[in-house]
Amino acid sequence: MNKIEHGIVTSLAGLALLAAATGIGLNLHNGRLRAELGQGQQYVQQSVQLEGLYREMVRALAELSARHSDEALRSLLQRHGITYNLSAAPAANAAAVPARKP
Amino acid sequence: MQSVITMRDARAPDTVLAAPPPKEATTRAVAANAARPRGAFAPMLLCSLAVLAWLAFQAWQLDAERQALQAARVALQPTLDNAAKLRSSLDALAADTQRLADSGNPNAKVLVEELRKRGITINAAGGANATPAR
Repeated sequence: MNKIEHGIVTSLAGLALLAAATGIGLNLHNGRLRAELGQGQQYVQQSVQLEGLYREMVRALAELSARHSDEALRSLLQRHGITYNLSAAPAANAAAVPARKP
Repeated sequence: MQSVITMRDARAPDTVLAAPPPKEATTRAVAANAARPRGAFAPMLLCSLAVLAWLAFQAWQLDAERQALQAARVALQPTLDNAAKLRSSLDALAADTQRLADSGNPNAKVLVEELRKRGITINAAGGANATPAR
């Protein structure tokens, strides 16, 4: 093997080493990204369950507040940006919709 | 006359050596090729090219996967923000309800008790943590 051939093979081996290092780095990075995405999706799934609980809580608080004319509960709901109409029938109070704060 | 005859006899063996039969010549050429040392450049070059191509292809695939994962993460970010807002609202509402119940409000107590019966406990002191028990 002459000098030029040795140089060619050495350069190719160096490039292969670089590609291997890049692949290992990308693999590790992708693993972290996959784990992060999985955690995010799990967080969203749990939040969907909690959204139902939140709506039920708001509805129950509004119903209790309207039924017993509880000003403390009413002001609590107002502090959280939730209002309801007192003139509505008790059954319709279930439609109390939380107004999200911007 | 005598000398001419002698010269013809001397040439005859030379002519035979200069032109050997074709079969023997081929055998000698093969033997010469086998004895010649072969360089390692060609196989090493092929090996290096094969390894480099395979690793470069893998790196390209992993880079494409990385881009897809990053795009998915960016797409998921608004949903995550909304979920965090929802949790924050729920925590704050639950904590306030718990504080109201602790201060003696009967309606808030009813709600907290109903939640407890369903396996949901509110930790008002620790940042209002409501966890649904499934």
